[in-house]
Amino acid sequence: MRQPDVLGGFEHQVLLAVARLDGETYSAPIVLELQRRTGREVASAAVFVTLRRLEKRGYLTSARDTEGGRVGRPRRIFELTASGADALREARATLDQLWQGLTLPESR
Amino acid sequence: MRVDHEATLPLVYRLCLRSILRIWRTLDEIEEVEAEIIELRRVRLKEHGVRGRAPYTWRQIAGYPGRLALDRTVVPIPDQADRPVNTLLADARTALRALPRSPLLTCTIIAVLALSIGATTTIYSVVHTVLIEDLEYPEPDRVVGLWLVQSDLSRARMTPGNLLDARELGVLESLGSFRRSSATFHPEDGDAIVLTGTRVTDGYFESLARQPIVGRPFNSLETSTGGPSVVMLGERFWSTRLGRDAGIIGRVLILNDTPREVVGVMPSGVYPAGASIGAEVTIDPDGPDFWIPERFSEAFYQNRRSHLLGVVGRLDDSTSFEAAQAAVATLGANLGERDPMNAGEGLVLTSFRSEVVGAVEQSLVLLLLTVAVVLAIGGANVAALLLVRAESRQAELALRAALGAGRSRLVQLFVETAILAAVGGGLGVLLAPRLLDALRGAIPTSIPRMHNAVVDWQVLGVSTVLVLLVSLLAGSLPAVFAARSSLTGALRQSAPGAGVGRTRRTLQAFMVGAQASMAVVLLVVAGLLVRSFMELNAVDLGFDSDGVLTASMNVPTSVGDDQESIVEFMRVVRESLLEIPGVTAAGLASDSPVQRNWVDGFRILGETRGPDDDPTWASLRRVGVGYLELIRTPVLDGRGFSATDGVNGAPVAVVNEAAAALYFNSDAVGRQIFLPSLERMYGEGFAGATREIVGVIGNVRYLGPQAEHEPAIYMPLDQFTSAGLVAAVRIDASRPDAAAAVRSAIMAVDSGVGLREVTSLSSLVGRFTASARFAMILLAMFGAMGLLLAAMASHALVSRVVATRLREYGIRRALGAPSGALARNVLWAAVGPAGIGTLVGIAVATPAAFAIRGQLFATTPLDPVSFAAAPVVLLLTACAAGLLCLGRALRADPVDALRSD
Repeated sequence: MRQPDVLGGFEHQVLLAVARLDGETYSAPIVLELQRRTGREVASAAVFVTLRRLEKRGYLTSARDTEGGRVGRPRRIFELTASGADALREARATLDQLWQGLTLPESR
Repeated sequence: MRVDHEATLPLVYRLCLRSILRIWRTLDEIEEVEAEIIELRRVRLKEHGVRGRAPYTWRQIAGYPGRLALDRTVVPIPDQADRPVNTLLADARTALRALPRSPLLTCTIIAVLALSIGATTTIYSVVHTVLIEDLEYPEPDRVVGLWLVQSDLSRARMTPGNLLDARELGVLESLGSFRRSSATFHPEDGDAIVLTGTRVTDGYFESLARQPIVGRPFNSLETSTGGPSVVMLGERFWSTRLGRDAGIIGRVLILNDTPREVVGVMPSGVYPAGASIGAEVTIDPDGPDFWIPERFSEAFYQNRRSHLLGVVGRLDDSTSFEAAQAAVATLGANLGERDPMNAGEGLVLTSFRSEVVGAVEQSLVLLLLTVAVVLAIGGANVAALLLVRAESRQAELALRAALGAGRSRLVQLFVETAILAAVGGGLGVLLAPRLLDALRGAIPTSIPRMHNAVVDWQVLGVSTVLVLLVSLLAGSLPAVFAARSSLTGALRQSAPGAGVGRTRRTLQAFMVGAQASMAVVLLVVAGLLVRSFMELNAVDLGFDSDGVLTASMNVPTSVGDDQESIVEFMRVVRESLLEIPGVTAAGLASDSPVQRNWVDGFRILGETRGPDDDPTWASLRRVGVGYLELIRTPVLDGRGFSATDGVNGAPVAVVNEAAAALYFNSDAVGRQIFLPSLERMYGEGFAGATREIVGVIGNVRYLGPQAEHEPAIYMPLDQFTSAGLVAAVRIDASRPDAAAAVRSAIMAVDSGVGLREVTSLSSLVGRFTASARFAMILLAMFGAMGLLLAAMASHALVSRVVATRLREYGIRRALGAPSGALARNVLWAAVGPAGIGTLVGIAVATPAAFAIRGQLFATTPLDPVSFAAAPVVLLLTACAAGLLCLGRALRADPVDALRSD
């Protein structure tokens, strides 16, 4: 069983993408941001599910974008919460701890 | 103007997404998913500056249901009632709680479904295996049989000359002949056994496209004259006698004293193993024990007299069956020009599949139709029972509807039916293999491929569809009625003392009538088959099989093949048999009375037959001393054979009544006949080829009760010995070890006797009627099932009527109504609907009876007994069902009835 308060790899990435994007933090730009930064194809369904999972765990909040002038359903805008930011910092610290003093053999 | 960013997904994607996600997600969530997919595409378009329609991809869309399904722990399903899965689960829970509340009804429904689905699955599995599944050969449709058509249009086996003719046909890729063979084999441990095999020419295995599982096929050297002696083994023999030893290849087996090198092992399966004189292919359940090459000399290929061979071929790629048929017919029409012996004869091409299953197709289809009717009755029965259930819950359902439950709540009834159908159908499917086992025991061996029948996935698929269909049909009636009921009406009707709703009762009566009509059809058909079977059994076969045991064997090679030694051997065997306590008579013959192995032409001396006269032919049979007396075939004129008709006696013969009437104007004794085949066998000038007829005996139906009497000539076995013998004894039937005693008495003479089965003659006779018996028993069982179901339905209806009218009965009793009037009323409720159903049933049974005419023997399709008995039985049963409820109606107490108001 995975610990609920530890960020999974993909969750980590999605959370970073939300923190990095300013303003337009609904899922389509998040998907594109992830693709741009990682250079890999990202399944939008995975982002959809992960965003909602992170929200449920309190790392994100979301609200419907009520700005007018758009066709169709209002988009859901996600925002990083304080505990989300903590989780990111903690994840980074954990990784830094793990990296400290570590030298890997040169890749051939 | 086209909106660049559409507000909705293309319809096909939306439908797919919604229909899947709707099972466990709310509409709101689905819309959100859709909006996101649209948005993503819009952003991508903007990003890459592509105008127009960038496609949605299935991969992208399919990801959503998958991930949402996997992720339900994190994004839980809210407990909302509008999700179909939740509603269905709730329905299922309610149903599971409700069903045990009426255990009798629930159990009845499940039992009815289990039996009818089980029976249908079983019969379908047989039909599937025997009729639907392809033969094991590659491209089985191209495998054909080839036969001679005689001037009287009957089919016959081919002669070696005809085989040569057929090889000229350009339409066949390969062509080979086959005929029965048998051989005595001495296993390293135990007594000699007789193996059944097939002699085949090259082209036989090629036509069937069969490859050995071990070893190699025969090569061209081995299939030509003078080649080495080889044998191909059958998988069953290889497994049971040789322990599946792959090292057998190259070893030498002694078959009939001929050493033969084993070249290969053919897999078990359907092989044409031999052809009967009537040109029907015989098939062993697992294939023959062995095959040996048939090697005709050049001279023998000129033979156009000996109808010995079954022929199987394979059409080449470019020829259709019809084209091949035409080519064969053309060749056949010219046969007379090749040889006057073949004048008036022709050739016919048959599909091999029809050779294998043709004979049983009709009866299996009949069985399948019958079992479908049983299933229909079962379904109607379940529907009627569910109607009763729905009725008792009418108030509850109406109240639910009134309190705001959507009409879809009535899906509940469907869910209940589905649960019942699943349980009943599941039990039925579990039951099917048991039924199949029972069926296999009872089934005649003449049904080819029957032993392969299994309840497999395909059969299960069909059963599942049946279960769904039944539950849908049976569940829809009550559900529709429940949906239409109004609260007030329902509450009024369910009040104590209220009568049953008129529409509903009419509907129930209709169901009873429908079941009665179907049951009548089943009963009429079953009755016809029973009558036909009785007629079959009543036919006098011309011999008395009671208390007779027969044993077939080969003369052991140690005896030698000169006539005196064989005669002496037969004398010793007969004496040994007569010494068995309880044996009253013993005798030997070349064939059992239920076989016909040799038919040939003969000439009547002193009589000239013109070319237009019909040829004289007869079944040739050889019997030993005391044999005709043993099987109790009467001597009608002259005398039978006696001890004086031995090796050195004058050559004599006895003919049967049919031959005497056909060829001798019923004055046969004293006439002389000449048998050219004997001269061919023993050489020119063989004195025994001319025989004097000394007696006329009764006709024997060698081919069973359905066969016509045919001319037969009997010769003394001592004057014309045979390598294959049938010993018969008449023995006190109460001896349980009679067969063992016969076996050891024969083995005591010479253990090298290849003894085959020791069987009662009655059981051999029973094989003639086995198919008819099998169909009859199954149909009688199905008829009984239909009758029982119809009776149950009648009873359910009447008890319902009585229960809801108790108050009325009570009051009528109080007012002095005579019991007779009440009884009439109650019985009419049972007999009325059944009676109308019966009339309809009779009307439907008439064409059904004509449709099965081919299955009937000496019975007219409109057999008055069957047509009268079926309705009487059904109405009596309905009456009995009514009588069971009568007591309650007559005991109705007016005080009780009024108090409940």
